[in-house]
Amino acid sequence: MTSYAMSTDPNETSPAPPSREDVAAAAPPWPTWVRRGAAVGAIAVGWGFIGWHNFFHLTPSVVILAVGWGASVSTLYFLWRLGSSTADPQLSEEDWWATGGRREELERDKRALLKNIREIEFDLQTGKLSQVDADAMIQVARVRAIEVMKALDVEEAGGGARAEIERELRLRLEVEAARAAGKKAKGVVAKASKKRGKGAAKAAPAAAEDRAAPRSATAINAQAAVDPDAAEELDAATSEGAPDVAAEARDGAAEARGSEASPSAAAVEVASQAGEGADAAEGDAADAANRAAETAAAAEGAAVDDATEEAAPDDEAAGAATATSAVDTASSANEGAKRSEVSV
Amino acid sequence: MPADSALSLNSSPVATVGTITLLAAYLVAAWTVAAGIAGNVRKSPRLILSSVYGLYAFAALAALASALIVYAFMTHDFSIKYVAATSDISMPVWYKLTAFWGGLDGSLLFWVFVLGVFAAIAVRANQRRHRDMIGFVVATIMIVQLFFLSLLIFHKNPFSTYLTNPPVDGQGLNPLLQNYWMVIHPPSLYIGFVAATIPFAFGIAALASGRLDNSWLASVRVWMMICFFFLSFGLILGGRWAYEELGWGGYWAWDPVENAGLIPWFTSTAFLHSALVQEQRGTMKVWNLSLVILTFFLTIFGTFMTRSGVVQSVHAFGEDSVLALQFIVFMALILIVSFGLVLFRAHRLSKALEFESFLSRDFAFLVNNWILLACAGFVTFATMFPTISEAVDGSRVSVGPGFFNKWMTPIGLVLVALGGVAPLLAWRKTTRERLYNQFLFPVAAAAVVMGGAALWPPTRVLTPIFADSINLPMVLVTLGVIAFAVASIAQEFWRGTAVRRRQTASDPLTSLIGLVLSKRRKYGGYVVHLGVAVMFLGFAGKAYERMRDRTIERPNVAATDGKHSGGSWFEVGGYDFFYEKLITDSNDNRTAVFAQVSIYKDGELISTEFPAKFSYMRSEQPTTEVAIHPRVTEDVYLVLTGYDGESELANFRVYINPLINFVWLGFLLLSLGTFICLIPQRLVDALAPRRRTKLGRAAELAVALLVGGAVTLGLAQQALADDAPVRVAQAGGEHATGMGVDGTGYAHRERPESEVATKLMKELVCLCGGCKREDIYSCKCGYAAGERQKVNEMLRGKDLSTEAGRQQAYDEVIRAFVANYGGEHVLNTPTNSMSWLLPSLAAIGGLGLLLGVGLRWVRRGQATLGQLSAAPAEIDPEYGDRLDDELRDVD
Repeated sequence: MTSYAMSTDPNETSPAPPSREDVAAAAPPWPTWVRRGAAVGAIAVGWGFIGWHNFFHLTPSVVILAVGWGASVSTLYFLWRLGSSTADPQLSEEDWWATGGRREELERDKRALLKNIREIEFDLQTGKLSQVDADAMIQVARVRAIEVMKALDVEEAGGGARAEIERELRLRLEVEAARAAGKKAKGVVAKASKKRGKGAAKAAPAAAEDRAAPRSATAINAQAAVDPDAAEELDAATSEGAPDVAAEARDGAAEARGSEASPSAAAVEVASQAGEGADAAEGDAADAANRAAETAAAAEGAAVDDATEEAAPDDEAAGAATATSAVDTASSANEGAKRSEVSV
Repeated sequence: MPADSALSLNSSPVATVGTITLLAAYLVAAWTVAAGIAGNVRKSPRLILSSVYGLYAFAALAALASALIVYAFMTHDFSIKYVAATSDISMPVWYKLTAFWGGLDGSLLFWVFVLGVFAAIAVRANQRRHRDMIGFVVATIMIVQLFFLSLLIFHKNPFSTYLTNPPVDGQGLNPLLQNYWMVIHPPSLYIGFVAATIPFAFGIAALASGRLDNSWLASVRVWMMICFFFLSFGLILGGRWAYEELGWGGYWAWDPVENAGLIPWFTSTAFLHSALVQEQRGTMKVWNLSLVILTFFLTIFGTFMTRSGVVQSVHAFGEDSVLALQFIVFMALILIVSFGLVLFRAHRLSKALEFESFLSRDFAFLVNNWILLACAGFVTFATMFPTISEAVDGSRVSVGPGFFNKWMTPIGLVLVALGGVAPLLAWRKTTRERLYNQFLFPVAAAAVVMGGAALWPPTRVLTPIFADSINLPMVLVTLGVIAFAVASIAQEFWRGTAVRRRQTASDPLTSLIGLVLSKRRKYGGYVVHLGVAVMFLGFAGKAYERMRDRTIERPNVAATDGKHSGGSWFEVGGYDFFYEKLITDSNDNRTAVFAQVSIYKDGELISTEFPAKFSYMRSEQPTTEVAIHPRVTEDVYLVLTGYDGESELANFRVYINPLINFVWLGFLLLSLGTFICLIPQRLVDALAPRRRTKLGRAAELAVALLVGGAVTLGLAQQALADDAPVRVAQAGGEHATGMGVDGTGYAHRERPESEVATKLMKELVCLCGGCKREDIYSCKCGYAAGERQKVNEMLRGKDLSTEAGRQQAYDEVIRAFVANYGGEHVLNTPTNSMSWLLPSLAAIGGLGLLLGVGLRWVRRGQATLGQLSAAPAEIDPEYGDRLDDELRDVD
C-alpha cells in the first residue's frame, strides 16, 4: 500500500516526484493500430448485437441505433485520446513545430508569383495586354519570385529543427534590435513622410528592420559558436520560448520582407541608422564574431552611404534603384561575414 | 429550474441518455476551449492535441444526441415533448427525419451536429498545416458550440419530457413542411450557415496567433465556397418549395426568412472575390477578415431573425424573447471580440491599398465587393424596416416584394454586368488600346439582342426602379445585360481554348477541358457567372407572368360550340383546359381532393394534371397542392383554389410563367461552376498523366453527359412528379373548400374592374392573418375577396379616363385604406421617407467614396509601378534560369 505521509526528517532526501513525461514513458505504448482496431472491433460487436437482437431486419430505427452505437464508441475513443494526449510520451515538441512555418509560407509565395507570371502571359495571349505592358509586369513579378527563391535557399541551407529554432531566436533578437533602431529613426521617418508622402514613411521602419537583421544574426550566431556559456543560454532560451519567438520573428521578418518591394531614399537612410542601432544592441558579442560583423557593417555602411548620397532626395525612382543595389552590396558583405565566422 | 431545462432529468430512457449526452458535450466543449487557448498561448502541443481530440469527441457526442432524437421520432416516443409536437404515428419515415429540424429545439441540435461534423473535417484537414493556430481555431468553434449548446441545455432542450402522462399520438408536422423539398432545403441552408463558422474560426485564430500571412486564406476559401454553394442550394430549394407548396405562382417573395439566407450569401460571395485580390497582391487583409467576420455574424443574425420572432414571416419559428436576448448578447460578443482583435492587429494588417488602373480586374472586384455589401446592407435594412419603424415611432409598416424589387433589380443587373466586364480585364492593368478588341463582341451581342427584343412591344414596357418617378424598360435592359455577360464569358472560353490549343497542340475539346482544369477557379467562376446570368433571364420572365381565375360548374361537360370553349372548357394564355372530374383519395395522414384537368395546346392533348387540396388529420388548414406542366419556354401552373364536393363545382387559378425554368437551369450551372472551383489539385494531377485515345475521350465525355443528363432528368422528374391519385373515390365525398356562400371560389370573386383597381390590389396587403403577406390581388382567401370588393366599389363613379383622374382615385383609395386600418402596414410599399432616403444616401455616398478613394489608390499604384518599371532590378542569371525551369511546370 502506498503511503502518502510526508517525511519529517529534514536530512532525508526524498526522491524527486516523477515528471509527467516519466509517468507517460513508463506506461506501455499502445500502437495506433491497436487503439483503432479495438474501437472498430467494439463498433462491429455492437452492431452485430443490435442486428441479432432485431433478427437482422434493417428498419430505420435499427439503422439509427447502429449509428448511435458508433457515435458512442467514437466518443469514448476520443475522450480517451483527449486525456492520454496530455501526457503522450511519443509526442515530440520539436517535430510538432517543425512542420509549416516560414518555408511553407515562402513556397506559397513562390507558387503565387509563378502563377502570376503565367497569368500575365495568358492575358497577353488572349489580347488583354500589350507586349510592353506584359513585359513590364512580368519583369516585376520575376524579380519578386527570385527574391523569394533566394530566401528559400537561405532556409534550405539552415535545415533541421534545431537550426530552425535557433534561427527563429535570432530573428526575434533582430526584431527587437530593429525596433529599438526604429524608435531612434522615428524622427527621420516623420521627416520622410512629410517630404515624400505616406508610402515612403511606411516603408521606412520595415526596411530598417530588414537591414538590421543580417548583422545581428551574424553576431548572435558567432557568439554561440565561440562562447560555451552563450551557447547554453541559447539552448535554455530555445527550450523555453522558442515557439513564441518563432511566431513573432516570422511575422517581423514577413513585415520587413513585405515592404522591401518599395524602398525609397528615405528607407535607405533610415536603414543605415537602424543598422547602427542593431550594432549597439549587440556590443557584447564575441570578439571574433564582432570583427566579422564589423567587416560586414563597414562594407554595408559604405554601400548604404554611397546609395544615400547618390539618390536625389526628391527622386524616389532613383532612390529605389540605389536602394536595390545597396541591398545587394549588403548581402554580399554579410556573406563575407559568414565566411569569417566559419573560420573563427 | 425551468421545466425545459436539461438539468431536470426524466423517465424516458432515450430522453435521459440524450440529456446526459448534452451535458457531457457541454463539459467536453468547455475543456476543449480551455485546452485550445492554453495550448496555443503556452505553445503546448499536448494541450493542443487534447483540444483537437476534444473537438472530435464533441462531434461524436453531437452525433449521438442527434441519433437519439431521431430514434425517438422513429419509435414514436411521445413522452418527449419535441417529438410529440412535431410528429405523429402516421407520418412517413422521411417526414419523421424532417421533423428533427422542423422545430426550433431540433433545429438547434441539428446546427450543433452539422457544425461538429464540419469542424472535425476542417480541423482534421488543417491541423498539421496550421499547428501554430489550430488551438485557437478549435477554441473559436467550440465557443460557438457552447453558445448553441447552452440554448439547448438551459432553454430549448429537445429531450425534455412531459411531467404528466404523455399523449398517445403527436400533433404532427406542419403540413406545409410535408414536402420532399423540405427534406433537403433546411439542411442545406443550415449547412451554408454552419460552413461560415469555419472561415470565421480561422480568421479569429489568425488574429489571435498573429499568423497574418495568406496561409489561413487558403484553408478558408474552400469552406467559404461550401458556404456559398449550400446557401445558394438552400435558397433555390426554398424557392422551389414555395413555388410548389404555397400556390401563388412565384418562388421568391423577399420573406424575412428567405432574406436571412440571402444576406450572408452576399457577403460570402464578396469574400470569394476579394480573397483573390489578397492572394494576387497581398492587400485587403482587413477587408477580408471583416468579410469573414461579417458573414458569420450575419448567419447568426439570420438565425436570430427566424428564431426570436423579431420579424414576421411565413416560416419563422415564433416569438421567444428569452432566446432573442441570448442571441443579442452573443452577437454583441462576436462583434466586440472579433473587431477588437482586428483593431489589436491593425498595425500589422494594414498595407497601403493600391491599384495600377481602374481598368483592372482587381478594381472590378473591389466594385463588385462594394455592390454586394450594399445589397446585404439594403436587404437587411428593408427586412428590419418594419421592426425599426415600430421601435422608433410606433408606426407599423409593411415592406412588400415591390419595394425590394425596385431596388434590387437594377443593383442585381449591375452585378451581372460586372460578371461580364471583369473577365475581359487583366489583373493589375488592362492595356487601354486592347479594350476595344475585348469589348467589341459582348457589346455587339448586347446591342443585337436589345435591338431584336425592342421590336416586340411588351419589352418596351416601362418599369419603375428606385422610385415610382424613375421608369426604364427593364426587360430590355435585362436582356441586353444578360447578352453582354453571356457573350463575354463565351469569348473568354473561346479565346482561352485557342491559346491552350496553341500551347498544347491538342484538339479543341481537350484544350477546353485542360483549360478549365488548369484554371479551375477562374473558369469555374465564369460558369457561376453564366449561371447567374441565366437565372436573371428567368427573373425577367416574371414580367410576363399571366394569371387567370376560372370557375367551372360541372366536370366533363362537352364544349358548347364543338370547339374548346364552354361546358367544362376554359382557355388561358393559349392553352385549353378541360376539367374532367373530382377525385378523393385518403390515407392515414391526410385526405386529398384532386381535380383531373387535361391541358391542350393547338388542339393536341399535352398533359393531364391533378391539382389538389390536402386536408391533414392533425391540421385544420387545408394545403394547396399545385400541378405544374413544365415546358421549355414556360410553366403551366394550375391551382385548385376551391371546390364543392356535392356539385363538383371547381375553382381554378392558372398561371403561365414564361422562362421560369431558366431559374432552375441557372442554378444547375452555378452548381457546376462551384464544383469546378472545388476540384482538388490532387484529382487533377491524378487525371493528368493518363493518355487516352480520341475514341476513349469521346466515350468518357458521352458517359459524363449521360450521367449528368440522367441525374438532371431524374431530379427534374422527381421535382415535377405529381402526386397522382392512387385510388378513385366517390365524387363529392368531401365538403366544400375555398368557396363563398354563393358557391363561387373566393379567388375568383371581385376581380379588378380597371387597371387602377389592379394596381391598387397589388399594393394592398391582405391582413387576414392566415396568408403569407400576399397582396389582395393574389390572395385566395375570402377576406381578400372582401377587400377587392371594397376597392372596386370605391373606384366606381370616379373619373378614370385621364391620368390625373386615375392618380387621384388611386391616392384616395390608398388614403382610405390607411385611415381604415390605422397605419401603413396595409401597404406593400412604405411611404415613410426614411425607407428610400437612407438607401439612396448610402448608395450615393458609397459610390462617391468608391470613386474618391479609388482614384487615390490608383494614383498610388501607378506611382509604384512607375518606380519599379523605371529602375528594373537586374536578375541573377542563375536564378533566372531556375525560375524558367520552375515556370515550365506551372500550367
